[in-house]
Amino acid sequence: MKKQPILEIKDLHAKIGDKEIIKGLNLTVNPGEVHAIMGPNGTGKSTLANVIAGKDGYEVTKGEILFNGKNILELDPEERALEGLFLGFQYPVEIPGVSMMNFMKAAVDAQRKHKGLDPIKPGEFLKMVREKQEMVNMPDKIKNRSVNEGFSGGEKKRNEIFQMAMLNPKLAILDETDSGLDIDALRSVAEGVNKLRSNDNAFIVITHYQRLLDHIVPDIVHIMNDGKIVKTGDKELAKELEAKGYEMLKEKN
Amino acid sequence: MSKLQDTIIQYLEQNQDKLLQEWPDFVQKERNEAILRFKNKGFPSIKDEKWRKTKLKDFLNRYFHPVIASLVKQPEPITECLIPNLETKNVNLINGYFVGKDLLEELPNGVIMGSLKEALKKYPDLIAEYFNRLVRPQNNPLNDLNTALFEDGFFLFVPENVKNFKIQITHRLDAPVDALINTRNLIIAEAGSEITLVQCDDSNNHRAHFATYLSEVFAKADAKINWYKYQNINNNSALFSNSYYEVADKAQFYTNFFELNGQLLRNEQYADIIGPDAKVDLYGLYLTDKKQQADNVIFVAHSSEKSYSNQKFKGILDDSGKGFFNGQILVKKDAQQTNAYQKNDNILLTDKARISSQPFLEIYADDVSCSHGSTTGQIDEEALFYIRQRGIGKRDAQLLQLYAFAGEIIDAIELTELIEPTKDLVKKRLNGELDVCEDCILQCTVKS
Repeated sequence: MKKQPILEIKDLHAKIGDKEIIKGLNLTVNPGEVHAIMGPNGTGKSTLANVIAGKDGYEVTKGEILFNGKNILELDPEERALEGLFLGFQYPVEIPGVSMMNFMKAAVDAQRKHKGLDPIKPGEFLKMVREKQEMVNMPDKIKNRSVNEGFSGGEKKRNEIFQMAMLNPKLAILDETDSGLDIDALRSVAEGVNKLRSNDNAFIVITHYQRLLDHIVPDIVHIMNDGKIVKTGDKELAKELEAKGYEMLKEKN
Repeated sequence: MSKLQDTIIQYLEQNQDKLLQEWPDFVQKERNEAILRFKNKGFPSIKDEKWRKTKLKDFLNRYFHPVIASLVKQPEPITECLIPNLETKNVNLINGYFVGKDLLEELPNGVIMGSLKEALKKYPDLIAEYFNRLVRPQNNPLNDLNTALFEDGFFLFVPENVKNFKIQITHRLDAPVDALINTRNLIIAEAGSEITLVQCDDSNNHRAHFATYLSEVFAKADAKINWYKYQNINNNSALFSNSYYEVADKAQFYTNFFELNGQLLRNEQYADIIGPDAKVDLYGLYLTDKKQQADNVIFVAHSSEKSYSNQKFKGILDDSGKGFFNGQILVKKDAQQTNAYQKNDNILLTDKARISSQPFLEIYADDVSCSHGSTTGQIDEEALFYIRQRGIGKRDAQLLQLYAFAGEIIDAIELTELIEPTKDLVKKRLNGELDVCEDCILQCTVKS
């Protein structure tokens, strides 16, 4: 029996103000798959991630997004998150005064409430934090501060992976999680993702570069251009793109 | 002329003798002058620079009973406000009158505390030296109103080197009719003493009150005063608290005021630093919604060299809530090596919420380090989305941010026992769950 896709995007059109950014995009992500989306700047990759996550300011004019078979376009961002969607931000936001631990406790409790469970006990929570911290190799000092405040670029990205580990989503979209990372940070982010991969969840990795895909090996690679997916292939496509550059998109046209 | 002004002037004229004869000479003298000035000047008007953003009209056009001594039920059951683990003296004022078993107490360590009226009878010579010495009538016409009409208030004298004296003052508005309340307070901390005051300004009913509290506080050399204030009165009442401080050499003077509820709350604080190595820290958090207004008018004068002052005020304004911040630092010519800072930050949650923030610096010395700043913004939408993306609902996400914003003022609390009750209060208030309650608010939050 064919498994139900985690994510199905059908003929999606979306705009910001009067400007159409996503122009008829189709994408299906099945459990256990890792997809990579590559493409030049300004082509709509981050917009796609934001539209899936439900950020304000985008208008979907056509098409649908099914998450576990359910249309999520009318849902608030937090409802989508509780359905099991996680967005690793390209630019994680600094939230002064909100401690990482309070933030994660609130997020874990929101998830538990959604499942009809009581808030997590402090001891259990600390144990969970310790486990996930080890899993994604996150230093102690990060967790004792305000959310992302004063974190280096690498620390912010690691923090995204840590939060992902804490919330254990069905689908994680990682929006340029590799940008601004040195090779060690890149490797530890990739290790975190690889440890979390399973047959029940899926990942969409948005990146400019092949180098992240050396560490997180994708099942399917898409190339996005001008608001659409213009080419889909296996991991070799990413290598071809790396060798030829985005000029290869023009050759075709 | 406004209705309230009519009422008062009529009362002053009919009771001139009574208002004067019961009091010591020095009070009579100040009162007489205040009456003359009030008759002449009356209430503040929106033409006054510091009252342009604060509408008194609705209050001035209604009737408030001018003196309600005969209407106060005596003695009221006294609220013992119990902050967990905090040992303090507890005193109570109702509608401007000191109430309790002992109207004036002398403790074995020499501390005198209780009713100002009683203290004026028993210690006129002591009080003559201080009474109305710091008050500047030109700052605010309500000072004259208070000096003309007050009948009682709180008096505290702490002798030299008495350390760790803690007192909780619960001041409740509870008049059986709409009433004008004038309370006068005097606090003297002798050299090397240490005082913590925890004051709760509450109301126990929904009657309209027009209340002025005028306080003079003296911090002598090396004294330390920490004053916490929680204001939670009903949405029909206005409370004007004007406080004057004289801070001597090496003294440390600290206030942290939480303006939580009330139709109109206005705190004016005037600090004069008269000796070197003195330190003044003034913190405040004001939270308004519905049609509430909260004002803070701050004036810190550095009259002596090598002193330090810091003003830090934060506001969150929701619905049609308003706020007014006017902060001033004056560094006089001889006040070299002054360090003086001032910061006011605000969050407006709606299009209708308003804040007027006016930071001022006036410097006549040339070797100083001073700064001032003011920010007004909205909830950070990017942060809101970030938090919501982790599954936290919009309202909780917003509260998390607001609470973090307020956190800086709560974190400035030095009295450990107050931290948790204050956190609870602010959380409840931000959640819209803090009502005007029967007892002192700190007790209310602890109870539930």
